[in-house]
Amino acid sequence: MNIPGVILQNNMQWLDYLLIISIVVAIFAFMLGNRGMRRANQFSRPPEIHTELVCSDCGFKEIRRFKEGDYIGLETGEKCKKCGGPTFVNLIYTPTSPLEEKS
Amino acid sequence: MELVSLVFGGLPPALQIGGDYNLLIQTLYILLFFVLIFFGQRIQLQLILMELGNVIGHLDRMRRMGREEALKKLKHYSKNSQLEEIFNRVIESFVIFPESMDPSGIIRKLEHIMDIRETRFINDVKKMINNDEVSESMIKTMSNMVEASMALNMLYKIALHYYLLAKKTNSYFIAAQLQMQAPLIISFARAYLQAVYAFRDGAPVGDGIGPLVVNKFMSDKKVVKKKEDYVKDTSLYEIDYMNRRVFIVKAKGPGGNVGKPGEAIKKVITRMKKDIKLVIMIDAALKLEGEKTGTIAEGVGAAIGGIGVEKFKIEEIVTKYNIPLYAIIIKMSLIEAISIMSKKIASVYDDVIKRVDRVIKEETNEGDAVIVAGIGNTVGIP
Repeated sequence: MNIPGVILQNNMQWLDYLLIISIVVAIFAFMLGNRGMRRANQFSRPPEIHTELVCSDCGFKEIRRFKEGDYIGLETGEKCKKCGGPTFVNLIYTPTSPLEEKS
Repeated sequence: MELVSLVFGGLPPALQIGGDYNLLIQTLYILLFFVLIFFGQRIQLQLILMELGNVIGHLDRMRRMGREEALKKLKHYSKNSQLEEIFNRVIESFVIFPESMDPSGIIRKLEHIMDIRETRFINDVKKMINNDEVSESMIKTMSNMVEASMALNMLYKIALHYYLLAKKTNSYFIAAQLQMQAPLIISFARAYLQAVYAFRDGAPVGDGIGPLVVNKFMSDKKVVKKKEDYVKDTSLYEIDYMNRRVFIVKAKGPGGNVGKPGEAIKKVITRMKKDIKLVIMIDAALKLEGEKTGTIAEGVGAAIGGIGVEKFKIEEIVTKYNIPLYAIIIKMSLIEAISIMSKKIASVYDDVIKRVDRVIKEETNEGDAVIVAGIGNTVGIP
């Protein structure tokens, strides 16, 4: 096949290029597809939840994993690690939001 | 050595006459040209259907995950052997909205239908659990979880319907429409699956920022009066702040609940009439792409979502008594609104409280009465 402006040394050479390009494109498409699925699976997992405890006496903040039954304002019965005072749940949140969409 | 020859083991001798393949290649190109003209759309339809097949598969996985998580949680508390049977019935239930051809009185009808639906839904969840030791707030949270699972099921069914319709009719356009909406559908499904996790754990969701703000607003102030069930599922607190009577309205927590803040505001204003000088509503709002999560904005009007019944009541009553209605919103995406509250959202409550303080100071005088309403789901927030 004659392509204007392109001199081919060999009739078969452009087919070689086509084949190589096709393979590269297929690999990229596969990688992109996999990335999309990984991203999708990441969104389907439950996020990590943190509970922020605050000492009623000294205001010291401590973060631990969320326990079932925690709610904001709950007096946990756990002692403050700094002064031994009573603590309450100040906030409950997920620290890193995997849900954040690109903006 | 040439790659093609290596891969295909060389071309047949008949094609190597003169070492020139122009005729073969040109014929192939012309054939390809006609194939694409006559079958191009069909080929594209098959490609779209392949892609949609993956989307449907992903939706199905999410639907099953949501269902399994919900059932696991219900089974943990349930004493009913027919739990799964009731769950399957509830998940397929529906609501028929009132006729709107004659819109007069539609809000009342809509509220009635939604009240029936909620009562029936809660009763069904109670039947599923059949355990008197489970608290009312836990039942409400679990009913929210079942609702999120229902939404996942519905999304899957609608997407599957259009996928099969496109396949059955070989319609490129139906498939293309579904393909265009697929990213949004997947994004909604992810949001609902995250909502299932949030309600399963009983942790606050992004939409709970309104109740969280009012909870923190009153936490360091002396509550003068407190009515837990001022109206259905809604609490009213009265505090004395900056020599003003501040009425705090929020849904009753810490179970998953949105309450009837419109009804509560209406009741307070009907009782206090023109003594109420200002209503401030705090709610989560959907951000536009490009806006940052947790951005706070101020405006006027009723900051409340839902089907519009509560919004209507608030607008009606503040208009009747000519009371200014202010809104403070915290922006987030839909996914963030119905999944576990992120740190970015939770940490803005202090800034919102400062704004509430400023608005009260600027817009009212000592001795006035103000309503501050925290709108949203109270899961994990008492």
